[in-house]
Amino acid sequence: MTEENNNEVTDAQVYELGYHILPTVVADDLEGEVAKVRNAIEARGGSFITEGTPEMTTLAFPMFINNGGKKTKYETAYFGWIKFEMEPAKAVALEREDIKTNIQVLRYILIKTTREETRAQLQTEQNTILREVKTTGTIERKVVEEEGGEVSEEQVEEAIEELVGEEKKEEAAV
Amino acid sequence: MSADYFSQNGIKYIDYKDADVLKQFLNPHGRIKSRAQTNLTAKHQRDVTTAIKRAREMGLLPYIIK
Repeated sequence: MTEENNNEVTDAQVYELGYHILPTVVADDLEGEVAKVRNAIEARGGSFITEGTPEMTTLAFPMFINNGGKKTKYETAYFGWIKFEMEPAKAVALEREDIKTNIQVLRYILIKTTREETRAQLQTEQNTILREVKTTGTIERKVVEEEGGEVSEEQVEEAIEELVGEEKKEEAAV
Repeated sequence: MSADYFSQNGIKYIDYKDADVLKQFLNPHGRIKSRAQTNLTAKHQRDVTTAIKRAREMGLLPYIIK
């Protein structure tokens, strides 16, 4: 029994299912469509690792679906992805029987991947500078607002002058 | 690009979902740049090629740019 269990564990492979859900699906029903995909994975013994919630994306090129001889053109779709662990044979069945037959799925991709986060996490210098400026700005304003109840106009002007002076100092320091 | 982009930025995996990262390896017509142009290692060039093809399949990157 233990050998069989070990084999099952080692046979399991990490997969990522990327999918486009039709843009015609109402935003409220979107969660239900994702739940269908999740339930299909769970039903076949898959274990979830991470998930990217579907977001409306503009496609790089229009995609067409043939519905009874009538072509429908789609230029946007809800793109989401799920990373999960499953046995290869079951993953094939999942793709053929659950994902491919789901008419609300515009297109999908099932790939082998790793358990670790695979997306590039780039931190540009520009982004970090923008964040710093934003946080210091809000903190300074809060201080002025707290004193605002009993403060006269003159005091407000003085506070503004102080703030401007501080900013100039900071700029000079940079 | 003088050195390998992914080694320089500490990127371990090349993901098809990172369309913005992959775009820089396309020429103005949307074709994949050669290794001579990208200066990537052979492995990273292969991984980029795979990722771009997956992104194209999912409509995240174009096949051609007119």
